[in-house]
Amino acid sequence: MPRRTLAFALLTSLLAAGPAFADAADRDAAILARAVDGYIRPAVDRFAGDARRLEQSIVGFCAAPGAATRRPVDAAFRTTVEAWSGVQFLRFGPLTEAHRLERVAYWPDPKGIGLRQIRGALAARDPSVADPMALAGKSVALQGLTALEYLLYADEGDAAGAAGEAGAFRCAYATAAARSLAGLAAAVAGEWDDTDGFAGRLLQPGGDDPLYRTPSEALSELHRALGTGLQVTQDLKLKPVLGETMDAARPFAAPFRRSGLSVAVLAADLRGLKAYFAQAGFALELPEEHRWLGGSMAFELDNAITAAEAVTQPIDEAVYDPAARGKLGYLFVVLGHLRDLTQQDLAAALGLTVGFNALDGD
Amino acid sequence: MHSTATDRTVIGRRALLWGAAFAFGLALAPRRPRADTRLLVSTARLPDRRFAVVAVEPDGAVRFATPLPERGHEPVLAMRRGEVVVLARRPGRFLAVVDLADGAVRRLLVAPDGRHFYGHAVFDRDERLLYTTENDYDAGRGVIGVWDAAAGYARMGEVDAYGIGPHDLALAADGRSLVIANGGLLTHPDSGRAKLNLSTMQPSLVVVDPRSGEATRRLTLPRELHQLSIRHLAVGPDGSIGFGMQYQGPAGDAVPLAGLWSPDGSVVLLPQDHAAPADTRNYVGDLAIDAGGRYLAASFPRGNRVGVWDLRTRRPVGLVSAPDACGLQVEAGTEHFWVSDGAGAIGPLDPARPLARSTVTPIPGLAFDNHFARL
Repeated sequence: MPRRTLAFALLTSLLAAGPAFADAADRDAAILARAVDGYIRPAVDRFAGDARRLEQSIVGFCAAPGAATRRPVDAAFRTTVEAWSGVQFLRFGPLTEAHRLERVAYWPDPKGIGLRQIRGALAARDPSVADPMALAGKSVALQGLTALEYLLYADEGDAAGAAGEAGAFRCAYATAAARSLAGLAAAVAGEWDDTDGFAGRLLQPGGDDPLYRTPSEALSELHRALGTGLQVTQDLKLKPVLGETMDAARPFAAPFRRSGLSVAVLAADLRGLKAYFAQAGFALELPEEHRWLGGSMAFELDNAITAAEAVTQPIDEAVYDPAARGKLGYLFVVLGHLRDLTQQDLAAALGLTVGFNALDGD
Repeated sequence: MHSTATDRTVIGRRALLWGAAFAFGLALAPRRPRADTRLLVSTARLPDRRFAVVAVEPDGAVRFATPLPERGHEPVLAMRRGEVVVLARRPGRFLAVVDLADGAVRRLLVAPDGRHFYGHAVFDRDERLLYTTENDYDAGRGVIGVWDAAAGYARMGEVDAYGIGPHDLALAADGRSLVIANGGLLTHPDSGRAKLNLSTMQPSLVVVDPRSGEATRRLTLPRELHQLSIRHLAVGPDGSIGFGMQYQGPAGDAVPLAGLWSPDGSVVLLPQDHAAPADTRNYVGDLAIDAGGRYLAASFPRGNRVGVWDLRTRRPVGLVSAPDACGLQVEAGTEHFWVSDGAGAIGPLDPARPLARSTVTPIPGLAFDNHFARL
């Protein structure tokens, strides 16, 4: 069955091969345009929309706490976290300004800095965390989805919405965090939409722009994002969590574990990377000897998504369940293969030099 | 033993074949070492993708290629001991002591519990004590490990690095103190190489007396430059400390990447009007000051360039195209820098001429890693 899927993927990749560009710069520009219009702008728009809905649902819940108002919060939190998966690997341009990456999700946090700071702010009823403007200027560990997760899913039982002053303060803090997050997401989406801003520089690299001088340099940025995304998912979100053996598993190191979304994050990361690869059409116009790459990468991305989606338990159980553990182990192997395909084969096929020292220096 | 350049090349190839036959096992039919033999010793990735320490002569003849347990970082020479120490790259934990004559691994040690290496080390003047930059990762604190090479590299203790993320270090001009580049980036092995404190990072250069453990001088950057991670340094013949940085902020920002801390305490961040962000990618991989102290060179492996400054005028001399080049060394008695790259090429760069770079490629398919040593 997998073999047939592969053959089919190869066939479609051949059929889908687009016009052969005489000029590599034209091909690079075409990939850039498809990546921005076909993936990046829709992905940041979706994240902004989900963040806005999350804010509204928290406002509604805090006004009238109850099961009926809580359900939209849980749904919106999940879609926002999943939308973030589709955006977090775009670590260039708007997302790297003003510590936005860390403000959306302060993770990994092995020393529990976020937890300490949030607990401190709650205990002190620090009024500045209940003000979205003031919060945006405070420690990144007090902000964003990671803070919201604690406020909404902490296991102390006095989560936002609980009766009394503590619950009310938690609600005020959560509302401010959600509002600040929605503002940040809207700003990122706005900057990606602005053709005079960063997107314009990426789409029209020029000799006098010191950031990207050629389409190939701009394409390197997009290609690097693909490699970075695979690396973050494999090395940070999966490897330490799974551990080499069951005894070495560390489910507490997983992102969004309190809300039970750690496994969903793995799947959402990969769906995002698959859509990015497909929409940008990295492999659409490759020379004939490299055309197999499009099918192979799509095939492996599908394998990775299937493996992640097949895990139905929360991460704390999955890493100790032999069957689920096997699926996650397989996912780890596939991610390694995808990284090799990206760093070696795709880079070479696109005429990009991915240097040994440049790739991951120190 | 007589040898011409041609002979050497032949020997190099034969050594390579031996290496291939034994999958780069130890001792590749070594040429007999001579006191006057110049040698380039570098960490590298072998054609079969294993990580190694390799020794080549300037004409490309290969003396040895010794595989390492993991990726290494800086090789540190101890000439009188006839050995090279190779540290694991962050966040690795091995310390390999390799015989310079034949590449045999004399010792393979590990960092103490709760510590990992950052990849750099320096010997004291007598080559007795070895100092290594390390992370006390549960405390999030940089330390300098002290090892007694004369006693089989026994761990003697450690001193405070007075900062987070100590990376490169060197002996100060007094020959006793250590100059430490504290990158300021907090990492933890559980998070791989991820940086955990970009918004609060505080890089510094610190001079520490390793006997007392006291910090005697300290340099920090202005608040608006706090995301410039100080990683590499070089001490010039007059005691000036050159330093190279990596910027953790937005890619398009134009920020200084190299500086000079003079013995009188003054600091200059070197202008780089010759280099755009696309030339540097705001990332210095290695740094060197030539033997006479006139020029400073910094490699930009992500921008595929090497930049050179004239320290008398403190002005840029120029940029040379050097794809994936990182390792920088100086040549005694000349103004030449030596440059190594990820395509396996290594060779001199003359700042007085129009920055012409000439190279040899000792092993096809080899990639030189970040740093090398030259004797």
